[in-house]
Amino acid sequence: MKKLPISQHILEIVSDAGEGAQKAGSIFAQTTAKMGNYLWTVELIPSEIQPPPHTTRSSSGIRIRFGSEPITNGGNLTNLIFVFNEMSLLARLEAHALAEEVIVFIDNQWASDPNPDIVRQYQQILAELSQRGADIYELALSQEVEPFTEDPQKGKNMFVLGVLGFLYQRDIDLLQACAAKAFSHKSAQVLASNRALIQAGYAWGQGQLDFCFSIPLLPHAAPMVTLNGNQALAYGAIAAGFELCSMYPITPASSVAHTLANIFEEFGGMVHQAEDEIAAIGVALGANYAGKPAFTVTSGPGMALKTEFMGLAVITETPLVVVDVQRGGPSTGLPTKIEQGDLLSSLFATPGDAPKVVLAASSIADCFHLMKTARTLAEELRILVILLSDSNLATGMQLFERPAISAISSSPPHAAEMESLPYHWDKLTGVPPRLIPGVSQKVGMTSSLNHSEAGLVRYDSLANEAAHQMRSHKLATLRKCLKPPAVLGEEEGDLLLIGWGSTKGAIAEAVQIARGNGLKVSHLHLVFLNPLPPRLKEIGAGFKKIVVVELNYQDVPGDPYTKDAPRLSQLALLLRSHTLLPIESFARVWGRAFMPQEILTQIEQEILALEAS
Amino acid sequence: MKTLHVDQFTAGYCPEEAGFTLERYAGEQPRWCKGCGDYAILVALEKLLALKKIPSNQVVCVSGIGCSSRFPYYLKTFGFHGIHGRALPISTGVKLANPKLTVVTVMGDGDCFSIGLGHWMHAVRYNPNLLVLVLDNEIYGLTKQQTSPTTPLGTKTKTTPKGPYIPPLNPLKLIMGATGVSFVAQTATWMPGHVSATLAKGMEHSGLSFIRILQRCPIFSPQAFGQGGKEREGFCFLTHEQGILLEDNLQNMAESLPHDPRDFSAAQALVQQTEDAEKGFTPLGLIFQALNRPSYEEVRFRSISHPSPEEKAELLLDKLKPFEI
Amino acid sequence: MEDQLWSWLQGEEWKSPLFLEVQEALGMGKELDLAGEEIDSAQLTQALHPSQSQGMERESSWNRVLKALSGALVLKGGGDPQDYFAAYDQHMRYALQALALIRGKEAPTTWQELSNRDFAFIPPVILYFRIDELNDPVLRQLGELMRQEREFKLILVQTQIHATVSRLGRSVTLNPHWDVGFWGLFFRTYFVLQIPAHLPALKTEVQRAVSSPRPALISIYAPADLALSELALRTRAFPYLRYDPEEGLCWQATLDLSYNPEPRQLWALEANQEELNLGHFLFRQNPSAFTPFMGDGVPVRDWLEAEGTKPVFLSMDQQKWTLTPTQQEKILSQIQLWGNLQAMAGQAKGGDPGLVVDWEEKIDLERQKAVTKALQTLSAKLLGVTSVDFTGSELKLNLGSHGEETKTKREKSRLEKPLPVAQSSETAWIETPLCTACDECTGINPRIFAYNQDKQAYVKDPAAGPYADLVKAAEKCSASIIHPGAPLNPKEKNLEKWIQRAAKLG
Repeated sequence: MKKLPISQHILEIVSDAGEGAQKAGSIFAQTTAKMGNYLWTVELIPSEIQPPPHTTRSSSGIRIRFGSEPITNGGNLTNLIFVFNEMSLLARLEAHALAEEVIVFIDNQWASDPNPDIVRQYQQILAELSQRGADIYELALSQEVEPFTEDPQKGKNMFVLGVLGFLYQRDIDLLQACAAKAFSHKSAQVLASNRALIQAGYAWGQGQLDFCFSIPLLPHAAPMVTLNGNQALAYGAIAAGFELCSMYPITPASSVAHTLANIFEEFGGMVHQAEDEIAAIGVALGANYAGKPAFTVTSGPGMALKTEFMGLAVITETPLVVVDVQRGGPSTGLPTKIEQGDLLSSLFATPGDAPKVVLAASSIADCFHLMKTARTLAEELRILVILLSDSNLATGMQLFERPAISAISSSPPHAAEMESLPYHWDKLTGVPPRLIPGVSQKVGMTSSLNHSEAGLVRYDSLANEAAHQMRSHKLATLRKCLKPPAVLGEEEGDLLLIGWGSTKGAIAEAVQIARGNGLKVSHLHLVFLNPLPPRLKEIGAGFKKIVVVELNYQDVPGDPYTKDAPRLSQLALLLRSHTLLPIESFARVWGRAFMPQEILTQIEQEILALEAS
Repeated sequence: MKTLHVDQFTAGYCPEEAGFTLERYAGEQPRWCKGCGDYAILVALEKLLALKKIPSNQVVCVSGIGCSSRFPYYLKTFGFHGIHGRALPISTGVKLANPKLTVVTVMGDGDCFSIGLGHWMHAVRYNPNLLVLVLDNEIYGLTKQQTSPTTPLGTKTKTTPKGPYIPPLNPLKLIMGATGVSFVAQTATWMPGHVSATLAKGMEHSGLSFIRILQRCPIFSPQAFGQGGKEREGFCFLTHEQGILLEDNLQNMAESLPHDPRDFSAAQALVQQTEDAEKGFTPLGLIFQALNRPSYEEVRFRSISHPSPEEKAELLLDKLKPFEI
Repeated sequence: MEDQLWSWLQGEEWKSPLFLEVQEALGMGKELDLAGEEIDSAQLTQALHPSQSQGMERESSWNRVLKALSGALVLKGGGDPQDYFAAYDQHMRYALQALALIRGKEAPTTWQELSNRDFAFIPPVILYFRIDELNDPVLRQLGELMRQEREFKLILVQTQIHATVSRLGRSVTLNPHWDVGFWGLFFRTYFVLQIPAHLPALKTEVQRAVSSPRPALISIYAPADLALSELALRTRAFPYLRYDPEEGLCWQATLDLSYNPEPRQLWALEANQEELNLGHFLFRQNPSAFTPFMGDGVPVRDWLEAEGTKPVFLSMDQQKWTLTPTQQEKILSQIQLWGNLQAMAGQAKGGDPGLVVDWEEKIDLERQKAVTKALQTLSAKLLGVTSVDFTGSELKLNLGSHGEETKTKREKSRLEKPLPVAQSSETAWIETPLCTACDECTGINPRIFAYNQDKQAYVKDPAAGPYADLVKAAEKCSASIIHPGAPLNPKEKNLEKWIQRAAKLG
């Protein structure tokens, strides 16, 4: 028996929809986390609700990256895949997800399927993989589970869980306990059969395999929780004291509301599903106006519809938080896939000059904590705050320290009771007092037209200029209080990578490897996109080259058709105008997250080019 | 502090009675055109608030965009001048935040029946406790005479110089077809007493009280509704003890028709007739009222708990338990 | 002494307990709860909720409130009373905002609604008069400040008393200045304190007066030489008195004379048992006003016992000094006043038989009347009003003819209400209940047309403008409810045309 030492691994379990690969994966992930590993999991979801079975479109599963060091991203290529049929394997192959030397476990029942087409394609696919260097283990999964269950369709996943438990040397008792908990709502019969199946799978591994993996374990010092990004946004909203989530269904944002809908009322909150995206933000704005902390959550197409209301929030200086779980665009684009294409439209889509705060979550923990930051800033500065997440965070699961919360207050910071007027701006910070209907004794007019300090309509140049300046000062107030961004690595060198949002983990991992290899590369990651933090220009000046890394479009470098004036990616455009530095970008719209390896390759190329010049 | 006010003794001073005057609710000097019917509605609303003795800071007037949407500026209550067509979502949000507030939503025909029609139908279905006033003059006034959904055939406008190409929308038929409708009334600005009585009835109703107020625009649609009631044919007061009671001075201003506003079928039949070319008429009064339909905020607040900040924190940690490692 | 008093009034002493509560409610000093490493939350907190020291320099509304709560509002007296009223009202508005912030909807909205308890939370508004000697303009201003309802704390610091001596040395005029404290008693809602500055209890006494929920009149004698202050107390030239109306309803309960030495005597004796009367005080304050006494006479005490028998002299520094008739009168008057004070306070019981007055039984009604009358005249003179009724309550004094006005206003509005019935076709009229308030007619001629209190139009005065305006308004009326009637002026231009147009209206 060989015990292969590894520090981290990427495991996939993929089956036809309904065969429980995701369930087995989540039990495995939980056991793994409890034993003292970090992880990042991503669900592999078919795009249609009920695709035809045994096709590439029907494959459904889970990808788990786990290891002894904190894990911040989905990683590179899959090291080990457990598939229930050859089409699932093909789907993952076509998705370029598998490492060349991937270890494959596959149910071999298809090799003897009565349909000769299936037999042929089974053999072809295995042959192709084998040629690429894969290490293939076929097992008679259906036969193995038969003694323990009446319906082999339902039992295979538990057997697989047992095999994986052996392969990665998971604590069998803990594995059984986690499985029992996951099926606690099922009958005793099902529980017993599951228990036997896991045991049998583990025993099969012991008896049939001549290797297993050994990963160092380090029990977590603090209590940890594992959530996906949308769950984190939902629980973060509760922790931040929000009491209303007003939304309209849209992928990939909806599950924020799903999570809340189940529990929000116990916290005194409610989910309001409005008739459309516009009404959703309108209700949130009305509620904030009347003193109830409310937010709306949406994705790109919804953001487009909400722009007029966002302008209203800006000019009326009503606190409002808009969460945008970004997806591929424009228009309907790639509803389930990741892109960071809403950056510039978040900043600038509202017609007219509309200063607002834009910040982006770069981890699951950020999704949780930034909800509170967003509410605080919105209320304290009477400003619109857009919090950007994306579908990579939305479905990715990550371990983070359980937040410490002792009290959750939902009352707005204060209803200023002033002799002054509703827009009696503080001349320095630009922040006006906040009158709340029913709470403040003094009544006030809130106007979508340009207005004076009294909230009355003013069309004259001076009043318009003054109101714009005051709204802009609020952003300046926040900017003055932002800290210079932390730089991973030296503050000077050959190459500086700048990223924002969910790409943080992959960029940081690549930069750390490159620095380990002696390359002078550093990483700066932005949480605040508007206002931008101070010292960006000074930090940038310390490097020979600055490259933005983001999941956005840029004209393909070297394309002869566009090379005379290639279009830049969004953050590069923003940072160029902000710093006047010749910032370039490594930007792609592949509909998936960057792998650290891809960024590492880019770093190496950039540095080679720098050395050459 | 014991300083005494002489008039507390000499003039039978009663603090509750004092102060609820029209002036208390009067905001900026209105800047509508002379002869505009909006004035009558403003005065009627001010009177109603004074009559009901609702403190100004407990009232929110929300509006969209248009001449009528300047309403909040002219009331000394909380006012929210929003964006075109979107007054209803804002109002719903206000009610979800604080159901105790008296919310008056003011829109025009373009605001409610055109750009905001979707919100209108859904607001009727949600049934938040709002007083919804639609000031219908069959024209876009603020943008200077474009056709509105209720512009009748033959009315020349800047976008339809030969008159509209298609017949107007009938808001009464639409709302009487909406699931959940709970209060529909119609009144007209040239009958200020009727406007007052209708507004009062609407404010007493729990749920969305939809009141369509007929008026003309003295500049762009002076001919609307028989020159604003000067031609007194085709109007018909709906009379019923549960409806809008008619003051004596109104009796002779139009025909009367007995109509039970609690009878849904009768109301639906009534609004069908409003489009009949031969027998058609314009009803004034309470068309329909459903009692005991819970308001949206009532339904929502019924099922929520009210934990303390500390209990919330404890509960959250409890909810996170299943995700704990 | 006077400088100390001034800076003490400006100090922390008067800071409201609300100050900290407001700071807390505004989140001042409490750092904003912001996750992550990106924001300097302390700096943002400081920017949005500046702490007190910084906040004072920042012109933001809440900082003005905090400033108002941080101490007494001390204003130098002598300016225009209207400015003080405005400053007072503003100070109270800030305090009300603070109360509203902390209590929400239950908080009073005007300072008139404040309870005594609320009032205790609000730093006082102090008007500080530093004067060499009271004179008519100052007293008139005091009167104006005291006869309205704002609760000022009036502090008068006098460096001289009884000092109006003419160059000729002829007389000390019988000015009312020296008993301004006594005068204050007749504003019975006022807390009154009269105190010589040398008393160690000065601060506690002033503090008590200023902290009272009542308006206060505080008269302090603070000469440069504090020995004079002591002499003023002993000679009853400036007796200590404190009248606190919170203490009860009768004089005994409310009036306190306890810091006056030897209260049962006409005046306190010096250590050497020498007598000390008002004359001695006058002499010490201004010796040059006295001339040596020649010839035969008696000292003051003997003179008092056998009034008018022999010329009187002042015995001072082993010499005899002449007392003018005015000075003599002044001494008598001061003795009488002291007696009255004693009597009112009920302290004279069982004392010197010459002074015994039992408040309950023996008070001389006539004398009381006389005192009242004197004060009435005095007050009237000071207040600039011709007749003030002191026999009733001070209500009428405070608020003058307010009640009358209210009544008139009411009657007037009743008159304005138009009759809803149709009037003669000859007179212009409006079907008022049908008015839509559309501003047409009032825009055409606001002298003819007006709105009633229900904001519906009526014909205020058909003769206030041309018939043409009546007809034009009737034509324009969106509700067609104006009836122009018949023209009132047969000489009006183009009358025929207007009559024809009116006829078309039907």
